[in-house]
Amino acid sequence: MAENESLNPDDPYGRRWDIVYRAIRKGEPPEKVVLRVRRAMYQGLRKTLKQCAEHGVTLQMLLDSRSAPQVLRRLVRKTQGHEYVQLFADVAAASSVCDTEGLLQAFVGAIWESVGDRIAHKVVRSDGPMSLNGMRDYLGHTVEQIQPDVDRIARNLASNPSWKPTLPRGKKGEEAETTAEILSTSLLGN
Amino acid sequence: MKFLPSFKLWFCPGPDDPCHELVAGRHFHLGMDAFGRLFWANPSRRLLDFLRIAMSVYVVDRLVRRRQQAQQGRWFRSLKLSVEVREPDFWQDDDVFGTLIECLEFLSEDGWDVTFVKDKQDPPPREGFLRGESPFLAYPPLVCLSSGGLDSAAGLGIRMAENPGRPVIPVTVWHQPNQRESVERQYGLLRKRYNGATIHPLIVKSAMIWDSELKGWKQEWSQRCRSFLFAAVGAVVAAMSGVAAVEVFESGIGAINLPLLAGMVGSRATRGSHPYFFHLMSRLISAAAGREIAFHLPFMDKTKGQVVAQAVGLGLQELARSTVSCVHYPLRERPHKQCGVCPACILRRQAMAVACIEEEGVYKHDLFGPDHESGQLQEDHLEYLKAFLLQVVNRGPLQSGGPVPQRVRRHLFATNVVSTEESMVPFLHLFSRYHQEWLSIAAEGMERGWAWANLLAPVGATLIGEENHASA
Repeated sequence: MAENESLNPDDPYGRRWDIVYRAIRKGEPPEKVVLRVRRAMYQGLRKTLKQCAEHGVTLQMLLDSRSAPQVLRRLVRKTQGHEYVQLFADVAAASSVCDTEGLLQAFVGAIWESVGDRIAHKVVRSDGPMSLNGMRDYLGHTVEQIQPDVDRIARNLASNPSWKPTLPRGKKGEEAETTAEILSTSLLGN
Repeated sequence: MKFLPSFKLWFCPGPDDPCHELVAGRHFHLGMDAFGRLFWANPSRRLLDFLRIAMSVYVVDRLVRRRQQAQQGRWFRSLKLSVEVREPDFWQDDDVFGTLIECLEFLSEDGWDVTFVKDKQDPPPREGFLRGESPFLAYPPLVCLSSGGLDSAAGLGIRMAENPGRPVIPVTVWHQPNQRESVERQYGLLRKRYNGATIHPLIVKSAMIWDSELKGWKQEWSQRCRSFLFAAVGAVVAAMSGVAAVEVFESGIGAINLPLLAGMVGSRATRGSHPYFFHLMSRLISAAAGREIAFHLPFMDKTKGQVVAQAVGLGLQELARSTVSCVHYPLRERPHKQCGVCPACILRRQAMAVACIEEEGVYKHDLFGPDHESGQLQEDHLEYLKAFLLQVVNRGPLQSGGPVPQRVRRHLFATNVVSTEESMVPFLHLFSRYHQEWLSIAAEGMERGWAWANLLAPVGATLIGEENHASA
């Protein structure tokens, strides 16, 4: 069974987020960074849902258990403590008044929040040009930019929990470019 | 007097791994003679079972390593444990068993499969009190956990001032010789401060016997379940003392322990003093003791800085200075006792700064002192401090009365600190005070030229060092 996806850019199984980190560190234009965040979000979610199914856990099961913390705890355990599933359980606990789409919005939004924290921690330096407050503003901008995707993913998954999150096709070759990037990244680190 | 007859445990590090058998007294040791010295009695067989389970959990947690230490995504373990107990039926009861598993999984964030095997040894240990009842029934003592850390010492000092003349039983489970010496020194200071106050420490040694067949095993560094053993020993002391409460002196900030980074798991998001952990432990000990016993956190509404400041107001500065917080203690690098840059050191320094207690020459790396001037601090040393400050920044909106950040909501609800929107209010006030404390320290840091204060600079502000670059 494949190793679980991670929300940690330093983890070998969180490499798609490492690409985002590197882009920010290199100072790529914000619109390019946002595109990378969107790709990583779709791909990470798609992979997570596939892994969960391999563990015998579907999104429908998670949604059905949203108000039953004990059951959610068992599902987290069944997925070997999958970080995305743990995050879903945490979001569910704090979103009891939301409808399914609202819960999924909060969950998908929390993915970038979690990764963004780790990236901010890695990027900002005491002798660097940007403070943590500056980084917060920068990440806040990306949150606004990815919100339509967060809404889209939540809407589609709420109406069809078997839906496979896929980035809407933009320029030709976009997906191929992402794959090439991942393949070119050493899993052993630099 | 033999208080803890030998027992066996079996564990499997993973679902497909072979099982190992370990024997108390041969592979590990829990110093139960401390109970005999204090109470002249054995714990009841159920309480003894509780201690066996707690020690077994501690041993397994310590021996089974997580797969990749540095990678938090690989935190989860699937652990199988079987323990020899005298009353397996009691522990297999749905309520008790469910609480036990929930407690372990909440604390360690692992999966636990626990089973119980009937201990058929004869004769059973002598139970009950030799003189018929607990020697403490006449004047119920204050039973508390005492780790030797800053919160527990300051909290004990404050609670002794609030309970003049009341005997105290501080409970310590030590695994390093220095820890025992440290708490004994603290009790000496407290007796001096409170004029010969009655302190009956119960200090229990817990240890692995590494020169047994365990030679060559490497231990897991996180050891989150140490808190389970610590709390279990405290709970048994409360049960035997005839009191209804075990007090835990941890600030609200430390107890709730909001993850420094959103979604963080692992030892840096420890739940060893978390109110929900203690809620579950209260249920377990109440079931085992056959009466209500609860863990209390009397400083839940205070920041660590406020607790220490209160202790300073009682003239307990020396006590505060005598404590140790560093996760790397003993550092074994004279003259420094503590590293100064781990999360525990940072929170301690923050609290000491709030309470205006100066400490010199204590820390290997001095984030709040002259190391900045001599250039001894490197960026690596700021890793955890940066995480603390990031948390301050992320909580920022609380200050302006804005919406509660999602990360804060998630933690409070998901860890059962709160169950309604209204019940969040006191915690939001607590976080706001803590936030303000950090901002004040950072403002002082800006004045004194601490480079890390740059991290909290408002957007567009001139950073420390920039003036020099400009003039150059």
